[in-house]
Order: sequence, then structure tokens, then C-alpha cells
Amino acid sequence: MLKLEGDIRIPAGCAIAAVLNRSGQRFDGSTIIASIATMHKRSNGLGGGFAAYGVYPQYRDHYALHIFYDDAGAQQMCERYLMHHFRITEREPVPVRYTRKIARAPLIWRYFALPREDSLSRQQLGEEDFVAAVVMTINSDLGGAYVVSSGRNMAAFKGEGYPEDIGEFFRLEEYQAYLWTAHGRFPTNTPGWWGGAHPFTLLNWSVVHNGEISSYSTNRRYLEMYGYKISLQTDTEVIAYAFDFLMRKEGLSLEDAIDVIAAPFWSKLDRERQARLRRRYASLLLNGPFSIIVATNNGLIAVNDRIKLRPLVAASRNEYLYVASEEAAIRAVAPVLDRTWSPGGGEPVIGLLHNQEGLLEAPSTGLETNARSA
Amino acid sequence: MAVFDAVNYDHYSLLQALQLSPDEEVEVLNLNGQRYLGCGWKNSKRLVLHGTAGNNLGAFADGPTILLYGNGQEGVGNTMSDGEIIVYGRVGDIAGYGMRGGGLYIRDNAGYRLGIHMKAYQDKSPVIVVGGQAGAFVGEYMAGGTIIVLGLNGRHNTPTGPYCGTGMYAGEIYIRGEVPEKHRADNSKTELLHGEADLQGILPYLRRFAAHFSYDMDYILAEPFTRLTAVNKRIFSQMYAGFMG
Repeated sequence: MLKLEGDIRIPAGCAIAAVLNRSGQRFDGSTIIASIATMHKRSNGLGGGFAAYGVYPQYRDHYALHIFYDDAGAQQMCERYLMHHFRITEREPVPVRYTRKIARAPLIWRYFALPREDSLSRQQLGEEDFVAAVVMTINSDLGGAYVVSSGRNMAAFKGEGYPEDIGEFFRLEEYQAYLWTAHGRFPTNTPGWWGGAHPFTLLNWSVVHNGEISSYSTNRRYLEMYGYKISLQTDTEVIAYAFDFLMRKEGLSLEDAIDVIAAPFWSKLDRERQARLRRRYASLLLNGPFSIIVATNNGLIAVNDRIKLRPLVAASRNEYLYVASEEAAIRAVAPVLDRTWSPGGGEPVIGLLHNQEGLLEAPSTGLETNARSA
Repeated sequence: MAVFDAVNYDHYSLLQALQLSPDEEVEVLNLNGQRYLGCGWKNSKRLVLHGTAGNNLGAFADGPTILLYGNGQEGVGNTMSDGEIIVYGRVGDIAGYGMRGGGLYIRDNAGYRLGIHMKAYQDKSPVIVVGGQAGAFVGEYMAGGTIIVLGLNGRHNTPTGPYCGTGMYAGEIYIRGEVPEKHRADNSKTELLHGEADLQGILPYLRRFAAHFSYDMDYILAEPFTRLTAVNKRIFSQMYAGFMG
């Protein structure tokens, strides 16, 4: 897989967008493509991608593993490893539409799989920990194989190209989902390549991100102490693992997790709870400018760095919640809105399905922050 | 008056068509995210926009009057020198960035860093009036001019976020209502002002705002204002002093 940037650099900034139907009604991928395409000028063709929730109801209990392979050898090696650990119900290439706009695509396959009982008991791991460990092993130890997504009833579709072209390539108009997120990439510090496109995922988590994580090395070293292997050459990867660690492994509420990654300045902390979290998880503060959308099967949160160095707009209309880097990306698919607002720094926009209380099964509490909407 | 439907143009050709139009008044319909509208215009034309304007609306503008019926995004009035921008809606972050002249009137809310590094220059003194709330860092590094935040849509007790006036060394920020201590930068001082007598200096701006958006002046003046100014004009003068031999 080519891991070098293009020769031409175009000044721009990344773009992010999401559309959620809070009732869980599904709609096809043309909406999110139209939304992200409005922000074409923010990316430079070196990365685009989508996360989609609710796309595989026929396999809702299976882990849907989407995997990139550099070549048939890598595929053979990886599949041998997968067979060893999973019962694979279905195995197929991800359907794509070849166009002139998308070049150098890897082999792209998907597997609907369940962990083998004997593997689980041998490893003494819970099912999700087991799947997470397999993903880490493939990404870091099996050369030429990269897990794109590994959740249930969700998938990530991403690659090197403008997001609208990636959407066309992956035939997203043929998928139905109740939650879509999207990203148009303008790589700054790290290479543009298929695995480095957003979203970054682990289990049901997906993250799209505009900005830079200048604390990447600190965050990375901390996460590696807990078994996360950082292998995709992009800072956003640590955000996905940070949420997985804080909320799934440590059991933090969403409110607490936000206060870890986008903590107010020490001088502005006015509650012991925030100070305790800041001390306990100092190495998971995400420093630097960012706007991110983090999604699971239950919904999404969108949040800025604590001093809001990247744009972010949210809007709602009936059952729909929209989030994007620019309001135009929302108006493109929903000209009439009930409410439009800019969240303040560190102040999350939370969108959950009606029957859910948090991003994971543990309920989150109401939020109260120093940040201000405008 | 020339009327353009943005749907019929790609981004660049729309900007060119507007630029080349000989008409004194130009109207654009169905905008959605087109950047650089009115950018660098050095004339006294009237540009009437409908829809969501893209980033850097009126950047470097030097004279035109721009009316936006809809919302703006980031960088409205970026480095503008003269003219007036009137937004019948809200705007995103860094509105009035480095602004050095003219007026920016916003009916609803403004995002973060309103008027960052705006400055006065010779006979020019820019003004921003926001009818709703503004995010954090209002007037960051401000070097001149006037920022007024009215909070007329009253969702919060104070209409600005924290870090108001951070790094500011000249200019004036007026906030309708009071600014809590914790929202103010260290280098700022505040005075509470009441009614027309105290607010003489900004009455023309308030009247203009009231006229643009049909507000009653008595209603605007019914609350006291807080004026925030810099204490030390050279706030960074000691910054590296300790490191010198």
C-alpha cells in the first residue's frame, strides 16, 4: 500500500459530518455523501471515509470484520489466523464500484464472525476484549492486513480519495443505517494512505477527527501500557482507543470521559471530581486543536478541544441530529432546521437513540461544564 | 440590480460573476457554503445575500455594504478595512478577525474569538455589535476598536464566555450585563455604565444596531453595561525579560 503523500499540497482543513436518526429509522448513504461533499474544499483527496450503524441487521450478533489486504498473501495469512479464532458465517469481498477517481485500492474483504468458544476460554478473556486483542494483533503483527472495523451491525468504509468519491466507490447508497459519520481528510503530520483514512474504529467505536493531537506520543505510551497497539500512523487512532479504555474498560461515564480528554484548564477546574479525573488520567488529556465525532451503536457525541480551535456546528430537525464542520454541510441535506448552534470548547453535543441512556450500556449523567454555547 | 442564483454557478464562477457585475446592487440567492463572498471588494456596492454564506465572508472588504439573510460561518469580516456587514442570523468563530475598519452587525450569536486582534488605524476604528451571545475569548489580543455584545436573546446571565479580553492591550469591549470575575482576563479592568449618559461613545453603534434589526433603544439601554479595557498597554513587555543575561 502506498504510504506517501501526494506531491502537491493544497491548503485546507479536514471536514467531519454526521447524521443520526434518534428513532433508529434507517436511511441510505446518499445523505451523508451529499453532506460531506459540500465541504469538498476542506480536504485534498488523500483520505475520505464513513462509519455506518445499523447496516447489517441480518448479522446483528456477529462481529463484522472489514479488512484491507495489501495482497493475496496477506489475506491468506490473516484468514488462517481468523479461522483459528472465529467461526465465520459469511466471507465476501466488500462490493465496490471501480471509478477513475479511486486508485490503488487494497483488497477489501468482510467477515461476519463469532469468537470460537475454545479460543475464548483458552485466552480467559471476555468476548469484546478477545475481539479487541485480535484486532490489535492483526494490525500490528500481520504485515499487510489492516482491520478497518470490527463492531456489530456497523461498518467503516474508507480509503484514499475525496469522501464523495470514496462513498461512490463503496456503493453507500445501497446501505441503510440510522447513524452515519463522515470524514474528508487533509493530512498534515502523517501519511495519506488507505489505513490512515478516517474513521478509526475498535469494536463498535468509530472516530472522525479534524485537527491535530499534539499529545499523541503521551497518549500512545499510556494506552500501550494497557495492551493497545498503535499501528496506523495517525493521531486519531489514539482517540478511538482512549474512549474504549475510559468507557468500556474503566467504566467511566460519558461526562467523566469528556472531562478526561477535554479537561478545562487546571485553574478553571471548579469541582473535585474534575480535578480527580485530571490527576488520575493525566496522560489521556488530548492536547491540541480538535473537533471529533465519536459514535457507537447507541449514538454519537461531538466535541471540541477545550479552547475550541476547530469549527463545529450542530443542528436538529425532528428526529434528526446533524453535526458538521460547517453549517453548509447540514443545510445541504436539511435546508429547514429546528435549531442550529455552535457548542463551546469541551462541551459535547450528545445524540442518543431514544431507547439508550449512554454510548455504552452504563448510563451517563447530565452534563454541566464551564464551556459555553454560542 | 443584478440577481444571481448560486445554484447555477460553481463556486469560482459565482465569485467571478459577482466581481464583474457592473451593477451597484447585487443579490445572490440560494447560497450554501460559498467562501470569500465580497472578499477584497474595494467599492461602495451593496451585496445582498440569501442562504448560508461560507467562510471569510467580506474578508479584506474595503467599502461595500453586505447584507446576509441567513447565517455566516467562520471568519466573517476577516481583516476588513471599511464598509458594513449586517448578518440577519448567527456567525461562527473568529468573526471580525484582525478587523481594522468598518462595522459588523450580527443579530444573533457569534462563536469563539469574536474580534480577535482587531485594531484601530489612523482615522479608522472598527466596531462589532452582536445581538445575542458570544463564545469564549471575545477580543483576544485586541489592539483597538469596539466590540459590543448585547445578549438580547438572554439564555445566559452574561452574554460572553470565559477568557474575555485575554491578551488585549487596547480598544474597548462593552457587554450588556455584568461580567463575572472568572470570565475576565487578568489584564483587564471593568466599569459599570448606566444609560445614555454613560454610553455616549457607543450610542451611534447601538442606534445603528437597533435600526438594522428593529430593536427598541429603550429596551437595549434598560440594563447596565460593563466596559472592559486593558490595564497595561504593553502586556508582553516583561515576557522574556527574565531570560536575558
